[in-house]
Amino acid sequence: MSRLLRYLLGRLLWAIPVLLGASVVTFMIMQLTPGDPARFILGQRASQEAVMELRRELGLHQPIFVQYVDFVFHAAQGDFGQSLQTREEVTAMLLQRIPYTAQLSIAGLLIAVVVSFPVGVIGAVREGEAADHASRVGALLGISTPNFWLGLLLILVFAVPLEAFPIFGMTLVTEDPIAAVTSTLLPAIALGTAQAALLTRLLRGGMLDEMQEGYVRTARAYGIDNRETTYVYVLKNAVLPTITVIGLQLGALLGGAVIVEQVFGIPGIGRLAIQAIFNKDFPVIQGVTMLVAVTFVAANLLVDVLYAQLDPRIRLGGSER
Amino acid sequence: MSVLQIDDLHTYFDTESGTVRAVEGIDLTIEAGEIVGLVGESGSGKSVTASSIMDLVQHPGRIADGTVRYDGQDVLSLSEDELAELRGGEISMIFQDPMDAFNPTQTVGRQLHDVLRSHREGSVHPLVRALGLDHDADCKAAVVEMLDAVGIPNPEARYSDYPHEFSGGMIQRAMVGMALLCDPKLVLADEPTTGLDVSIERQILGLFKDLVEELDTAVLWITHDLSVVAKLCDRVVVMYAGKVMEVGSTEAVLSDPASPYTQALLDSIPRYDRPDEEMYVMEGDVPDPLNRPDGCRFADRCPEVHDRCHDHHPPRFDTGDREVACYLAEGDAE
Ligand SMILES: Nc1ncnc2c1ncn2[C@@H]1O[C@H](COP(=O)(O)OP(=O)(O)OP(=O)(O)O)[C@@H](O)[C@H]1O
Ligand SMILES: [Mg+2]
Repeated sequence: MSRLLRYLLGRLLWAIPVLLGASVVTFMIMQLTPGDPARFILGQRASQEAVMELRRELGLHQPIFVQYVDFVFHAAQGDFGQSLQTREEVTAMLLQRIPYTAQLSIAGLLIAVVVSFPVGVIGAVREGEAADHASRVGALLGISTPNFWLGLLLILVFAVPLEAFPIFGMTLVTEDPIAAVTSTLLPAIALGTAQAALLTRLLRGGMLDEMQEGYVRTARAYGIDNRETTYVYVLKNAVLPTITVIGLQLGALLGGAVIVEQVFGIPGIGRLAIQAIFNKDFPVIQGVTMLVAVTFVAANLLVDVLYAQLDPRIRLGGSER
Repeated sequence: MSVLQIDDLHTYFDTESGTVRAVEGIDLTIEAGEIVGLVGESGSGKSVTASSIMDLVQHPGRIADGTVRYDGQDVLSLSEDELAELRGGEISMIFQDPMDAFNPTQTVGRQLHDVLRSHREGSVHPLVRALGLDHDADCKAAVVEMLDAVGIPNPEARYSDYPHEFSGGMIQRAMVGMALLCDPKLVLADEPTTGLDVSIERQILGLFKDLVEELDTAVLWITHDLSVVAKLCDRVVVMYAGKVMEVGSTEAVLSDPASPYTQALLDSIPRYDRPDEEMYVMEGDVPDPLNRPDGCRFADRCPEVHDRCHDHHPPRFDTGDREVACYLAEGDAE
């Protein structure tokens, strides 16, 4: 078996305990409510019969271990039961909303990458000069601006006076590509700005560190063009750790999406989660939680694959020394 | 005209705790076809001297004073473009820490290939080369040949290996190969065979001897190993705390050292033929580079120290077969 394949298999095996852990946490969401969950959901004024009925529906009358196995068994097949509120299948509700959150998150990430790369590189290449200072101040601003505030600001400054940008809602790219761009741009900026700032700092710092490496000195000592060294080798080596961070930042990105969806009225997973929490709609909360966990694990797996592809030290196994 | 002529070179590092005077007034010439050894304890400024010659010293370091002439041209006044042509082409450097000198995410062969390619006529735009669109079969063949010459087994396959797949000794040989790729006129070799086993060392010494014979290349050979100096070098420069203590023909300096420091260096070599004899260990430490004595740099450790040694560092006295920076040699000076 090739080293790469073995490495990836190892990573894949790691996903199992992580997902099991997530399932325990998700399962416990309902168990940890004070008192009887059914009573908690229905409220003080509900009748005893209604509470008993809900207990049966949720399987609360069974021993907790049986409940958990049952939960995992169904969750593994993508079945989280029905919404207590709307009686819809939770999975169907998730599937309907995933495209919106996916479009928003991907657009936000895209904006973060497109902005942070040139700005971070310029900051590193022109270290200590005006461009560097500007990029650092910009990054600091970006990191310290709350996304809901930025979202409201964008709505006020662009969406309200300019008809091109809708104030509310989002069109999917599969429905109407042009409307998709105009309706996604502002929320994506609100979501991606903090990420852009973070990546800018990382990339700038990474490149500056990388420029101190011995191979850069070697390249200089051997008359190799400075642009080649900086824009290809230094950049590539500085991007490697950045990719890992992008994977780890997915959590922050999804957390940001919850708020941005709220501000821009986007019918995505985040809005669904907030509604479910207000309605004590536990099956939906559990569905969302597991979805986020699976996405996180999958994204990090993808990052590992990408990293391994780009870094021969991993692709070909570690140093023998 | 000498290939290399260094006059009164001073290289300082401005650190937070003060100015480190790593090199303080070095003079050194190397003729074509000559191999000059540079020896001295750790921290005496050998590597800094080598980087200064190629104007590679970087912040916080600076060349504070002095001139470096390569083939008559003042290296320190050349533009970056002019330097880029000399570096790796006519002058090349073997770094002391070869594993660090290679890019971990590039194959070793490719890195040598790029050096050769960037010094060949009709070079393409560097970004085109960097994107890997510029595989030159001639260059590749030359690199494989060089890897073979420096004793890397299976060079064809090794060409596409990454640095971490090489052993320490092999990456060192690849470094030597990189330095010799473009038929340099001057090689600055910073401990190129330290840690290699004897047979590989002999092979590499042979390579350098051939190079000198065929191309009249000049070599500055930095080492701690005086036996290599004895085997290889025409002349030897003994450095201590940023100063040259003694310089002369290898034969003269090693068989009859005039500076007590050279004597101490020779005495600290373990003698395999007399294992019972207690090994000589030089007393004291190399002076703190931030706080060096005003007088002779070696005075505090010197077995033959006099009062005036503490006042001024001695000038270099020319005694015919060598120059010595020690008042003991004053009487023999011509
Ligand atoms: N980047 C730097 N910053 C500060 N001081 C430095 C720097 N590089 C070298 N020095 C100092 O310059 C002095 C000479 O260092 P150099 O590396 O030339 O020693 P060396 O003779 O090559 O020693 P070794 O035999 O261990 O390689 C040392 O005191 C070292 O601390
Ligand atoms: Mg050194």
